[in-house]
Amino acid sequence: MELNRFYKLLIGYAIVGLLPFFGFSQNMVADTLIVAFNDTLKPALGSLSIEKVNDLRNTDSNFLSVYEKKKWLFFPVDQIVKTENPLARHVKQQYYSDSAGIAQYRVNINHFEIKNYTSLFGRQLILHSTLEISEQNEENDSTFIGTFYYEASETRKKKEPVAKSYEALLDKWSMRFGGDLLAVQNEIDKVVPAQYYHFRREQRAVGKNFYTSVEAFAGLNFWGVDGELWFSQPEANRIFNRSSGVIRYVNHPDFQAIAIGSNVRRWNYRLNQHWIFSNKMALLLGINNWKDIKTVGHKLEEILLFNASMTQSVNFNPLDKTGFVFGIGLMEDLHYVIYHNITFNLGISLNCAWKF
Amino acid sequence: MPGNFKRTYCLLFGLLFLSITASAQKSTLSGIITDKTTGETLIGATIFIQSEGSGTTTNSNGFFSFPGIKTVNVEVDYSFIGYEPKTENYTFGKGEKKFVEIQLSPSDVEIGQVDVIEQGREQLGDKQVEVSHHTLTPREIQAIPVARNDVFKAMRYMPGMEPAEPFSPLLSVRGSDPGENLIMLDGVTMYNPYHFMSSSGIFNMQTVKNVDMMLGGFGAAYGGRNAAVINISTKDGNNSGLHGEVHPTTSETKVFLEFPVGEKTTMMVAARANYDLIGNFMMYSNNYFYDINLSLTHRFSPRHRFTLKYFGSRDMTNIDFNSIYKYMGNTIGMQDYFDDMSLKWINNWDNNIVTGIWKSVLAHNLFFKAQAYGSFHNADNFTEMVMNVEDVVFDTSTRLKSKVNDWCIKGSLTYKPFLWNEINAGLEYNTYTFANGSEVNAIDYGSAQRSPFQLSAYAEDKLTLGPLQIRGGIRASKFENGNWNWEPRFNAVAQIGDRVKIKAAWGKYNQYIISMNTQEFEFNQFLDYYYPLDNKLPGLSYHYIAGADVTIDRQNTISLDVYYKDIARTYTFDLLIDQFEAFALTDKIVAGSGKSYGMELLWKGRFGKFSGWASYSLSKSTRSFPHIMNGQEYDFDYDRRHSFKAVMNYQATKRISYSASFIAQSGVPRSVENTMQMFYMYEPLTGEMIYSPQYVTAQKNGVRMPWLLYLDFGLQKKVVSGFGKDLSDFFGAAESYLTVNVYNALFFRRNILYYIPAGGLEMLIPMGDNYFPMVSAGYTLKF
Repeated sequence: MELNRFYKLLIGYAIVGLLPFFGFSQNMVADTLIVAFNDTLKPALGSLSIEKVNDLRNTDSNFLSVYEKKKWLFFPVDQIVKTENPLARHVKQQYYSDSAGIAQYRVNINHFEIKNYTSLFGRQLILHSTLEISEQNEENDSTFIGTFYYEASETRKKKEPVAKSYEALLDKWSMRFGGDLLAVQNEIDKVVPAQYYHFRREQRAVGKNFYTSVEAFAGLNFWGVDGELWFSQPEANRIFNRSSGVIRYVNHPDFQAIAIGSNVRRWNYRLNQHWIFSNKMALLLGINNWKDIKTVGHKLEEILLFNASMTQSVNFNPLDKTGFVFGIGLMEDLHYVIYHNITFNLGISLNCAWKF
Repeated sequence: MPGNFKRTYCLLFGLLFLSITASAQKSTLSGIITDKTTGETLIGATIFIQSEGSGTTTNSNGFFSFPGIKTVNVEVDYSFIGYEPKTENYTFGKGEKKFVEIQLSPSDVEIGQVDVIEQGREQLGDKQVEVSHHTLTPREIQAIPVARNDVFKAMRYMPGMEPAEPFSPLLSVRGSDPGENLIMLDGVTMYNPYHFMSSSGIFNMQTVKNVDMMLGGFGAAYGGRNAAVINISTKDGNNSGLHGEVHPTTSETKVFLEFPVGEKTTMMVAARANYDLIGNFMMYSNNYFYDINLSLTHRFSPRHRFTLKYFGSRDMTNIDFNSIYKYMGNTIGMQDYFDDMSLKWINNWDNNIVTGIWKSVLAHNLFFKAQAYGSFHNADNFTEMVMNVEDVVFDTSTRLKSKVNDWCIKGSLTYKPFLWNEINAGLEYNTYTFANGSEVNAIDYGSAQRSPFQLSAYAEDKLTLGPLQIRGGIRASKFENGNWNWEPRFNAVAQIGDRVKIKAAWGKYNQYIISMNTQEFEFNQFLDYYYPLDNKLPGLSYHYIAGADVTIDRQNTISLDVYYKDIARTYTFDLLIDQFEAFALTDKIVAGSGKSYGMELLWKGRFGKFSGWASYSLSKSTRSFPHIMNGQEYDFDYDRRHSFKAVMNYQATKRISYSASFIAQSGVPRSVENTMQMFYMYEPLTGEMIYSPQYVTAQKNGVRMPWLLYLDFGLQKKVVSGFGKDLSDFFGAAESYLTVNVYNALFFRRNILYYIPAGGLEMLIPMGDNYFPMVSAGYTLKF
């Protein structure tokens, strides 16, 4: 009987299990990070004031961001990032002026969130916000002007405290929002609309879209189907990136395969109000079903498929509208199976999706 | 014995008469206590009347009766741990009887937190007097990483309940055969309630309300099995709006919905499909299962409710191992060897049950329950193996068929004439059809059908005499042409102070339907094949149990059970004569005897952010059959001498909980072969004698395998960002959860279950069940 080994194991696991009792548990508990919203960073607006800010978000009024971090390299805990005071109060303090005779505005915060992305290639904060602007007259009646969509990013430096990066991004957004308010007051967006792509005059805010997409592709030696799901924030820039999860069925002469990719990158460029050019880049890992298994000796490791593909497509996808969208494109496919040569294929693709 | 029965009946009728005359003068408060959010009845909720200085609890149907109230104005406290307490005031006229329906609101509980007292929702039996009665709630099962989807795997973590064989969901309770357990779904007896080699149990966990396990010494209300009673209760529906869960993964999708239908009716609908996408796609297999749960409950009034339930499941396993062999052979350079063999499994079985349950409060102290059900099981399992050895082709196939139809009608009355006296009586009638058959190499080895009936009646009386509670009962049963069998049962509980309860139980138990499990000689055949003892004496055992429950504080309890089980008559199949004929209900069974004894220590509770339970069991189980070692006693196959189990949940934050489960137990007793014999047979096609070497041993279960260690980890996390959060927002879900499990963390230490002899006994190859660590992840949308 291997009781000695058993007891050693038991003691080892007991020590790990009891660590929280010796004070380590505090480190495991998710904490809340408070970041400063620089109220003193008052953009020189002069001729306007924000009189009222309504936070319409369905969340804590101080909420900015939540992300997962690992304690001891393994245990995930949630890190919540908040502002010291309610976000609406911060925004108002920054743009409020008690000067007489200046234009007065109201702001609805429909969406305001900072995503914290960490990958092998770097760390990045991305701010998504949607704000509706109304002009307020002396009788406190308001006239709706339009909606701002922001998508701003800030690269996080490795040694820099994470709160600093959040604060830098908020500062950047504050300055830009102030400038945008002045431009909208002076109707500059009508003169140079390209620079104010993120402002939709007289249009109410729209929420993020949910895409359920199917893409069929075929070339000389292969054909297949992709199923994809992704959420897309409203477009704040003419060029925007999104990522999706994809499950792919592909049929080659010798085998068929099912592959999955969890972070398929989509680079998008809006051509006009109705059309978008997209480039989809996918890295997938799959399993093979060999058609000749009865006659050809395949080894176990040959069931793995490494697949990379790119698809350039032109898509009918009206701005800020939901409904049926579709596109056509060109696909380049590269795949590798252990003991086999890397194979390149070229095909055409047709895609359609319902945009909720 | 007959004299004792007459005295018992006289006592029962005397108490009935006394109660009718005495209770007419005083007031009575009776009612039903339910969960305010779901409408489910609460079992074990406390009712305390200040002015009377005494209290009572709700029974297994959520019903309570408080007779003999002397005061006019009474203040009644209703409470149940895990729920907000409630106080109501009533004014009684002389001899007035009031019926009330009380709704309690649940307190907030964090995800993953295991609350020891969250036990009361729908319990089996009477926990006040039962000994060796354990309950698992869905929340507790969620804390077991390896068993989040499977109540049978979860039960392995309770003391006294051990897995029967690797990859098998069967459970041995206190050293008994798995076929000696009565397994019920909502009171309906089920036959082979398992999916094939799946990580998911047959019961969709989203529908499970409670799992009750009575490991011995259970009351007269249950019978027909020697060892234990296991009941899985499913939800009735929710009367507070549409609620549900969706759980999509690449291997399984589950949907669960519960909602009101009008003001008085609730409904629960659940479905699950498992599709083994990888195996079907890669290995040319065709494996799937599905199951469906439906429940409709109509409350005619607070006093009367009717529930209709349906459960259906179907398993299909069609594995052609040729593809796997080709890959394996080519990978390890043994393609020639593997080219010469082929193995095919085609297993196909289904379960269908339908039941209607009527519950009524007939009078202020009389509760009635009636149930009718049909339970149908059908299995058809085929195995074929082809081997080419020295140019001789062995092509062997077996087909085992089994069918069980069980129609039942039963009714029970609970009468509470006094606060200190409760009488239960019931009647049950079953009519069965058992049809079994086998084929070897497409040749019929016999098939047979039997259709016996069983009639049972029981009565029991529970008396509360100060700190002492006594329940005596008797069960009478008759199976087909056999005689009436009488099974007296006795339970007693003494409350010592506020924190200590001493319990004892004794009972006689008969079993009329035995089963044969075949995994020992057909690895893929883990189903039980049922065999009615209509021309044999029933199996017989006597349970002797003593125990103590100690409440350490509000959140921690310790229990100790010591038991001795005298298995006076048990049966085994004499497979050495001809294993396949045995399936066809031939009388190749042999009677023997045995005993099991041991002790179980269980702590269940919560300290700080930790919650869970831990147990230690010491047990011994032996059997003796005349055809095995000339009747010499041997350690039974399911003997597990030492067993330590623990399930622990750590609530790191409100949104994240970590869990771990651990089992360390003595190895399995095995018959390790130490001799080889040659068996010769004539091959008619070639005219030659061919031989087959067989490894044999003279000692049954003479060797014990090394200790078994299992450790699994789990994480449950409320999703607060990313795609999962977006998805739950899009569907308007209340919340969504991510679960991650890591199985077999101790994979580097082999758990040896068998030694397979090879190379002419010069080598024994150890076989285990934990070769690789495994990781699984799941996402759940909760409405």
